[in-house]
Amino acid sequence: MSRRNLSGSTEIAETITSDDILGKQVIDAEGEFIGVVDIVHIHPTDLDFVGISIDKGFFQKGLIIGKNYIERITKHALFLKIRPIFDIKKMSVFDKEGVKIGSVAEVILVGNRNALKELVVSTGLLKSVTIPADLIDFVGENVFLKVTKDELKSMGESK
Amino acid sequence: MQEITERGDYSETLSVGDFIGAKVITGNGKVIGRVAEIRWDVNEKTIEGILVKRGLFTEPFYIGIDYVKTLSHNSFILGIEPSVLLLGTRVITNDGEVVGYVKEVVRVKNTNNINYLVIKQRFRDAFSIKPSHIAHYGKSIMLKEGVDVPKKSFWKH
Repeated sequence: MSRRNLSGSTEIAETITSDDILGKQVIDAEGEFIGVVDIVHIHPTDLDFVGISIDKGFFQKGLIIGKNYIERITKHALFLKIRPIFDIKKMSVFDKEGVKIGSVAEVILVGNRNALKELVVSTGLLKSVTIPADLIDFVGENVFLKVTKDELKSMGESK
Repeated sequence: MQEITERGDYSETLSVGDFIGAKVITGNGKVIGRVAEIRWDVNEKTIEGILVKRGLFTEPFYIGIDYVKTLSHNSFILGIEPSVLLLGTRVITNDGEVVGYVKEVVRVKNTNNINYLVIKQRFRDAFSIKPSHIAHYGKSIMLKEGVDVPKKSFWKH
């Protein structure tokens, strides 16, 4: 459909529209397809693009991603700069010797940033341990700690 | 070591038998199976590698000890991501288009180094990519910008 242009700018031709974003696949920094864009957020007074909401499918909580975490938008997908830290929920947690401690029950962030404050790890029926982020060695397919299970116990983190 | 004692300090050693059943974990933290056998080099009198059992319907595979970073009674942690595990991984272009899945991993002899990957997708001819075509390995394999892939064609298939 042809439209008359009252944008007051020549840059309008270089922009993309909400139609180009909505329904697009979202790919995180690890190449994981995490859902599709279902909402575009725009600030009501600044009129700036603020971020997107991601629909992760039935029975999955959606996710809001700020524009600072978006790397680029292409013809086929929207790429994130990050791997959303919520994805570590339900991962297994191992100590530094590969002994399984439990699985991630809850992820506690620093504010609304993609930065981990601590993990609540379920270690058995109604038992859990809270592990601060600085005890985590790395997060890959699972979570690995810098300490052994015994060292963790002696730190008195058990609740 | 030349030593014969009735009671020694074994704290620096581990019993080989205890390794059987230990988890095998890749460098990125993926549990890929359990140790089924420890293979011993009878000439060098050293551990040569491990046979990893991956499940009822999956072929076990052998991993040379040089690819093991740390070991304990509970686990063998590898220093690598075994390239054979790339089978079935989704392949995307630099702009996010899915162009297929890894159907075959062709390695350099029996090492973990990839010679090339064969990619296949319905309605698209199979094609191969070399490691130099790949920008990133992760949950998907992302190709570098400008890598040519065959176009989808519905009439040929």
